[in-house]
Amino acid sequence: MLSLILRRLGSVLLVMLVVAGLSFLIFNYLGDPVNNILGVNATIEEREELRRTLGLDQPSYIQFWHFLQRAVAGDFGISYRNRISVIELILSRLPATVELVFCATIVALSIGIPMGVYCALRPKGLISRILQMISLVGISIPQFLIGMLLILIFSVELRWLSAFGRGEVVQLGWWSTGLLTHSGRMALIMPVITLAVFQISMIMRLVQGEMQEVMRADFIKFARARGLTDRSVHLRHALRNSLLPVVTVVGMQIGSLIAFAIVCEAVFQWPGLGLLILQAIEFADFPVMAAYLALVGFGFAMINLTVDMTYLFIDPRMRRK
Amino acid sequence: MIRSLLKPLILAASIAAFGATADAKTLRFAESQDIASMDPHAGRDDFALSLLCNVYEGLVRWNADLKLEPALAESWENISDTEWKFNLRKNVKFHNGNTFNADDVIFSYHRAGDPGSPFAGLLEPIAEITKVDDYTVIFKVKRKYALLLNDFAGWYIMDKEFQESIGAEKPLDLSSNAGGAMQTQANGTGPFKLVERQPDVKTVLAVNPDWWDERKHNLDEIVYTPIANNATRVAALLSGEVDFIRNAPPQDLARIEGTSGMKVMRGPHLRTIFYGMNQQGDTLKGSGVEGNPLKKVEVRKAIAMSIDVEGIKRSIMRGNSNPVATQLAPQMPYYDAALDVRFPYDPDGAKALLTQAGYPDGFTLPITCPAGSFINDEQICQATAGMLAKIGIKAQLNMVTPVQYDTGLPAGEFDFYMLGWAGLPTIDPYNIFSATVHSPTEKLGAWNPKGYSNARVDELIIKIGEETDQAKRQEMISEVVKTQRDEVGKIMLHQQFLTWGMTDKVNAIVPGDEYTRFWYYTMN
Repeated sequence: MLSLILRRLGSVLLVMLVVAGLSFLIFNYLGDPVNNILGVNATIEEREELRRTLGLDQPSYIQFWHFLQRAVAGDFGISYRNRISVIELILSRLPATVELVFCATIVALSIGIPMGVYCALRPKGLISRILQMISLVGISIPQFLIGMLLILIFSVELRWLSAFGRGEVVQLGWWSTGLLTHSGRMALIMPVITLAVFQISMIMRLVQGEMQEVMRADFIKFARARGLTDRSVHLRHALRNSLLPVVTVVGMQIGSLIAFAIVCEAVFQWPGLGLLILQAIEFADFPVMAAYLALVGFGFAMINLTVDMTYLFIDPRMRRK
Repeated sequence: MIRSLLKPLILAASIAAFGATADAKTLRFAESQDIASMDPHAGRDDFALSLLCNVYEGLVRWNADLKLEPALAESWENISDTEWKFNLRKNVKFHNGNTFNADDVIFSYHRAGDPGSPFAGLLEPIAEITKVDDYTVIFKVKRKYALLLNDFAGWYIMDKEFQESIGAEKPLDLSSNAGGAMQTQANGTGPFKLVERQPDVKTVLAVNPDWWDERKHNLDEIVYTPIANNATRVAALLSGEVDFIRNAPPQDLARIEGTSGMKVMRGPHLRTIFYGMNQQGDTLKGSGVEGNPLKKVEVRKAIAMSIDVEGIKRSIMRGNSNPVATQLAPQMPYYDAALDVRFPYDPDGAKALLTQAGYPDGFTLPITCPAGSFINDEQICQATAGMLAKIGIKAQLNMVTPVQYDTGLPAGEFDFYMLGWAGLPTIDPYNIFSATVHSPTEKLGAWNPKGYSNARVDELIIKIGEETDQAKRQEMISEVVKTQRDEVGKIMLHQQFLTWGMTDKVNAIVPGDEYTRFWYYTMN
């Protein structure tokens, strides 16, 4: 058991090393941050000087080694663009993205699950067919387009909602929240819809498929034979047993949305992690990119580790191996 | 409990939001990116300085017509060939109430100009600075130098006491963890002062009631918001959430102008767009022919004659450009209209020239083009490829992102590339020449790698930097321009126009250097 956990932790470290290493390889092709820092009027001499100071004249593997040495001590360097410490920067952008993603997920679950249940129970009904068609559109329409359409309708034409930003935020310690102000909540509406549309469609299809499968199982027949009400059979037995894969997939989705809600954040100028990494790429802000990718790798590795651990506790058969 | 504590906060926030929309004298301004910091010495970044010029001031400044005028210096005189005496303005206060004096000038010189600082290159001609009294300083320059005042307009004065008190005596040093004090603080002498800043979210400036100069604007507050996505930025303007966007995307101009209560203000940009090319290499990689065709002036001339710049203006720039024959835009000092005569658009003549140069069947030309550095850069490159095909030159287009472009170009990785130069912040031909015309050396010609090289021109450029007599400068500048034009050192395209979108309420000025000088703005 312990050895298994240790082995898993070892693979987490390996994943992070590989991710960070790959990101350093990519940097060579992203361009040189020196121009952005010094401006176009800098002489060739000045460029070389700064490149030396920042260690960019060294080969990639040496830069990578220095990065690792500092990262182990928790120092990810200073952002070339924002000129503050990278960790501080990432932490300041985290709340915006986390709030957005969690709101979108809650909305998606509370709409997607009932839709999926309905479609599973009446797969041939007219409403089911309409819902399935809508979900097909929801899955195939690009996020960018949804966002722009919402802005055109609700900002430009109706002028009800703000096209950009988070509205007023309230600072609770290091966490900033938009949920406590009116403008903050209004600002969430369009980005949340944009993110949720795909998730709603996906959850609906997942629930529908799983539940149709479960409805054919023996224990449902027995439940009916026991004379349980439809409501109890559908929601207590069938739905519960179909939710496990939904929870797994939604969990992974939350992870990838927090890391890469780039399109949605760019469209609505949402000051979160997605916008930060986009700006970092445009500026060739290596310290931000390296730290970000390493942390994202860490986050995903930890999620996987947690999932594996959960299986261990749920399924005794796996412990014996 | 938490709720009752937060209520006043929420109330205050909503009042602030309401107040902002109700007050007509708040200019809400959106741009595609945020400035990197409030530190005017952190980088020679015209984008940041174009906003920071409202908070900080130099000894001199550019006025609405891009002429130099006194700012923190009241007057100056050349006491010898290499010594300049500046009399500083009295009774000027920094935003925090500190008095401005000679110590601040000396401090700012060292902060910006010491080795390793980003402005060391700009202030390089200065040998030393001496304080005569609290309001007089003397600058000694290393050699005769013509552009000291131009340079000083881009070098801003900071408050010594304030910078020391927040531990930001040096511009941010990226190699050590200096902390981000200048990220959210600023203390200048300018017409507006910083009241709030959330990096990448918003920056709020308020009018400085104690400004030394007469107030011509009527703005009380400026709220600056970065909105990266073009479509969202335009939507924010159309929906009335912002009053002013600089550089409205070309495809949205008609939409903005067609909306009631909106307008587009246009102005010529100092930047001219051109193709530079490898004229020194002995071979041209991927050309499929022996030698380097671009070395021959006939070939360069043929390329110039094959480009229908009026067609580009009509169909790609939608009228928002001005074809030019030289790198100096008509608004640039020392512009010589007599030299601004393009080679005629003549594909047949171009083909004849190519045959004469020994390339009757043309060759393959690798063109590297930035995707997003200049207005419609990709479309212009594509159009150029089509035009070159007509004279038998097969263009091989390679589009790269701006940051890769700015890396590869000075490194000499491109053989034929698009470039634009505005001569900022100096606003003098010397800046354009020294960066893009002089043969590449350690200090000069950084943006002319493997490019145009002419010993006489190089010699003239150095002299243009030293000569202070206007007539002599004009003569030398015209010679450089003429020589380069006749030898087709660059293939010139056009001057870009600035297109700023705003509501009818805003009266802006649109200067050729793109700086937003809010002290000239009014709102109805």
